[in-house]
Amino acid sequence: MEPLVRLAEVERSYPLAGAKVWVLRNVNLEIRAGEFVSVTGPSGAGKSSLLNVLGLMDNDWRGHYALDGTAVEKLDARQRQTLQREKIAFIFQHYHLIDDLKVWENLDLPLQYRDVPAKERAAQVADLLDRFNIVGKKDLYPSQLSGGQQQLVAVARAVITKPALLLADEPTGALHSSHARMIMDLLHELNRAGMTIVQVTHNEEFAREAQRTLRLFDGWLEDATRA
Amino acid sequence: MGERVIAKSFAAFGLIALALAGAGLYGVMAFSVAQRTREIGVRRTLGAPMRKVLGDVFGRSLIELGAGLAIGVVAGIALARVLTRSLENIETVGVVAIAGALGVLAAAVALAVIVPVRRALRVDPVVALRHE
Repeated sequence: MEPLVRLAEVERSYPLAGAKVWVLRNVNLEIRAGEFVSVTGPSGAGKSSLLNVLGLMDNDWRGHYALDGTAVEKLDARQRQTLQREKIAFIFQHYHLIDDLKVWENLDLPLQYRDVPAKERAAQVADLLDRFNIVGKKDLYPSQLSGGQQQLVAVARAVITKPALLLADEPTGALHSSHARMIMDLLHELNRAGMTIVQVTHNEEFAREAQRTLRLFDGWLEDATRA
Repeated sequence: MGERVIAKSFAAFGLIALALAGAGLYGVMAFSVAQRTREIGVRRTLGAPMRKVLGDVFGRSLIELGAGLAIGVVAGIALARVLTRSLENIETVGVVAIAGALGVLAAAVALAVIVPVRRALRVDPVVALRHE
């Protein structure tokens, strides 16, 4: 069965003072649908760069990347954006909610961008507010919520489109330990429901909770679970 | 002769004031849109097509522009009427002058929105997200 993600000999570098700084070197990786994978490594090891490649947010890499059977390197910018819209969602360390939109409006936004009819959007938003237990917060602005609540909304916003691949960049990095635990439990719940999750984390304990841990060092990737 | 010189001087002052207003408006709008670079990055990671990002930023700027121009036109006409009572041979409302001023200010706003939005759309969403 075709893996959801297949990277083959993927490399990424940045020009610096006439030379190249490598952030990803000869990366080969397969992630099956329904897996929960952690990516760890020291700062500057290439974790976020790998996530950006996987999330189609970076187009200046070399190699082969197949996402759900589609060869990404053969797509133009517009096709990549369409593929990203259909398959991928993100969670960030600093939540990145839209400050001047209410909680329910933040959840509504990804559906608007997918041209979902208003009635259907309202139903999906109501369903998710209920599922995430944040109905009482729906008319609040992000600044009126705690960090944990904001991340909860950010996770809800990410999954409202039912993405095939959820990419989480330090999802618990800015949270109090109890809120971090709540977000990790939520990610496990989503994974049990079939969602494929790749999380970048500095937290060794949370990293070990995934089914597989990948370690990056100076752009080189090793599968720490199998090592 | 004296009146003609004064009229020309006022016309010159008017043009200078219009240029300054246009430049000021450009600066304020460009700063306001540039402040939204992170938000543009967030919207793109949520799957926003370019046309929707542009439409959203333009929509907001047009509302702000419309409100500002409406206040300016009403205040300008009222002031012109007060002045015509004390000056002779002056049109009550110079339609061409008002239309010209509106055109210059609208062009300044359009330029102020297009330049930073195009810049924000060209950078990777990742970079836009780091923008403070």
